[in-house]
Amino acid sequence: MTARSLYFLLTLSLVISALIAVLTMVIAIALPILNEPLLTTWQVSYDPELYNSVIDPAPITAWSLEPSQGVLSVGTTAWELGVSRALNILVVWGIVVTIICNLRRVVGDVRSERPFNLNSAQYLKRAGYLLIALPIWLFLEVFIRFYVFMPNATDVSEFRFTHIQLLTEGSAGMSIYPDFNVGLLIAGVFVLVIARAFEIGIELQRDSDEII
Amino acid sequence: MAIIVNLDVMMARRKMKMKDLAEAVGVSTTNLSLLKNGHVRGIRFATLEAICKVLECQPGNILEYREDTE
Repeated sequence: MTARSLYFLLTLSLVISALIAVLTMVIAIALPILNEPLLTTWQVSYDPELYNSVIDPAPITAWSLEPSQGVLSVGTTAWELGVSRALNILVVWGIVVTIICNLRRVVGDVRSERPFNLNSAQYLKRAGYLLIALPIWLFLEVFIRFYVFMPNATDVSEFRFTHIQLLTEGSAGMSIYPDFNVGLLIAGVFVLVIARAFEIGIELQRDSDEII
Repeated sequence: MAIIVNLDVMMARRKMKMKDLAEAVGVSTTNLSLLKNGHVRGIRFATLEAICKVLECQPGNILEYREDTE
């Protein structure tokens, strides 16, 4: 793939990502205003043998458990929660758009056939750090979302740092384990290594430029 | 820098202009000017060979080592 076509693809994905971000933010804010419930879900792991004891969430209202998929969901029409959801979309898609933007700038420098400069190394570093920050935020967001969206969250659950233990009838082992995207973390480290290679490339380029 | 470039001396001896030497050697006038003023980190053997051929001299006539007193 040539630098020109890669630059075009990154520009296209930048526009699409920005559009998705704006659209989802508008939907997140508009749904509660239009009295449509905003649905938020968490993947729940539980012991199937003890499932009968938790199928009736009588003491805990406003949340439901889908039996086939182990999904805990909350529907709400509160606009504050819509705004908080929109803020999360802003953070996640903001990171994604910034990463694409930085990579696009690097490809722009590659297109000019002089990629080894301070700016390219900086852009790659930024993209690398953001790629590392993204899975960390997505991990933490599951906890934050639970305590923001779930009614009486502190009464029905215990925070265990790596997961949330739901306090259910019959003491069934129901937990919310947030996913940690290791792939994104490795990609971030990989981009940081490339950024370091670019820093060495700057020195080599300078040497090459100053030798006649 | 301890290495002194005496290109201007050799050019004056051969009565050669910068532009003509640059054309004969195959480098830009800017780069040749940088070399003449000692503003480069190094010189390729191929460039040195071409300069020596055009100016009919030895590398030692162009480059000189002087101990850096600073």
